[in-house]
Amino acid sequence: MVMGTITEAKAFELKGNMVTLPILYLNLSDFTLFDQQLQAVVAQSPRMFQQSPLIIDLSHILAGESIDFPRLLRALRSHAIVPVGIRNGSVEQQAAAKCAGLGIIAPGQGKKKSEPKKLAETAMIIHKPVRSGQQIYAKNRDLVILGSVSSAAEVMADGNIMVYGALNGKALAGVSGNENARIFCSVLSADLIAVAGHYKLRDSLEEQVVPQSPYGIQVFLDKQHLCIQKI
Amino acid sequence: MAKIVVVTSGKGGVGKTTTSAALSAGLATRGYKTCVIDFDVGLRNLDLIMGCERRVIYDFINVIHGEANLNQALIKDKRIDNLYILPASQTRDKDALTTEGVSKVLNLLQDKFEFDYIICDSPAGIEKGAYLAMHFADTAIVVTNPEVSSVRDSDRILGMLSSRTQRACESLEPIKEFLLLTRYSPERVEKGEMLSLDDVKDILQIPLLGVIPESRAVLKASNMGVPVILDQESDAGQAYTDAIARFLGEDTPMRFVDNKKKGLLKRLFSTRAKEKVTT
Repeated sequence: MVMGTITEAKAFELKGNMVTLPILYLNLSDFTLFDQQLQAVVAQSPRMFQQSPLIIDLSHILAGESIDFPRLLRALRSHAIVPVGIRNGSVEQQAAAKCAGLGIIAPGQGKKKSEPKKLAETAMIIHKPVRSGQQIYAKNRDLVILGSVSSAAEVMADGNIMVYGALNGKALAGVSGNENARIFCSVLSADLIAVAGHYKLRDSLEEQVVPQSPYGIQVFLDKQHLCIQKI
Repeated sequence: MAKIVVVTSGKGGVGKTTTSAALSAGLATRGYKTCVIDFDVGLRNLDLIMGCERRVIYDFINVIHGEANLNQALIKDKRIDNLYILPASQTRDKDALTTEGVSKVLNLLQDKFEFDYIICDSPAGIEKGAYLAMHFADTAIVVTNPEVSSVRDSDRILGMLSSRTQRACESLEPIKEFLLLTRYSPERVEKGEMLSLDDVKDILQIPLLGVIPESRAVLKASNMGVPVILDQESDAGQAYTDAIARFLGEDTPMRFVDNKKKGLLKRLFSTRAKEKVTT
């Protein structure tokens, strides 16, 4: 006799999905200031934290320091926050977290602290004008353009950008975080200029007097401020 | 080997088809065996400007799809020897064009029909029709009006010419690019209502082939189905003749770019008139 197979309804499915979770970067293993500051943060947007899962990141804590996880969890749960796990902890810290019932997020999933990348030795050289709608990115290197950058064109580099012509489009230097990167151009009338994420738009460029110089203009970061100077 | 020339602009209504008609008629008049192809599938216009709309039986798409051969589709111009028109299809759309099909037709025109020049009249936009019109070109004539949107679109097209054409993709000698400024009015430039020739040259930075003045002759010629270059009485017709001379490497002075100085009498009269108004 052959047993008829009965197809069972699947009780569940397992899937890997990307979800965005808030991450709490713990700066101090000492909790004297923690409660008060947490209270202030939650008070700003209480609904955001209601039953919100949260990951605790220990990359700012030294490996040897011990953390009072039960104390930390009490503080978080008192605001209805649901801590789910830790990441970037040492072996001892992970063991302590396990005892407190927290998950361990595998290392490597968290974004490594991004060091500004080392630049390649030679610059990328573009021999033609960069036209409207074109995008040029010099990865890990400087970018030299022998011509103008038209309005609605974009030039980007991890290093410096040099435009031997009018810069009318967008120019973003040090896009992967190099704050020492600079933009040089003969004439500046850009839609946007940015160094390491600090940017200025055309409107604000028009407000201030953009200097003119026969030798050109440079743009650089000075204490997080974008400066425009003649060369 | 035939030279393939694309007449392009990005923006519509700037004078691509007028220029294609004038250029092909001018080159044929000079004795070059010339074919002009309408790439504006679905919005067929070139046949009207060339005055052969009643003679279209088979078209470019029919040839691409193998429904007709080139001999059947090519229309020989009645006025000028050496001039042939390959019309677009009015009933299809740009998707009927394929890279292989266009390549096949261009190769036939070059090898079997031995044309000297093949002029590709591009549709507006940057989509398939415009892309295929420029893809195989050796030379591009970028038609631009002296106004900001036309200049920006031309700039965009120049970017495509230097990155997406066959010559760019296969790293051959880059496509030659020329600027043709059309509908230019020196009076309006003087009044500050129109971009000047120098403004446009500054932005686009390519060699200037010619400046065609804004002219009533263009509309008249289009409506009559005669390429404006055949109207040598008109300023636009003369300007196109000059542009073709430059295209063939001849050195011709630029005309129609300066505001005409009024004669002494006219000037006297106009100051008189002004004085009258002020008193």
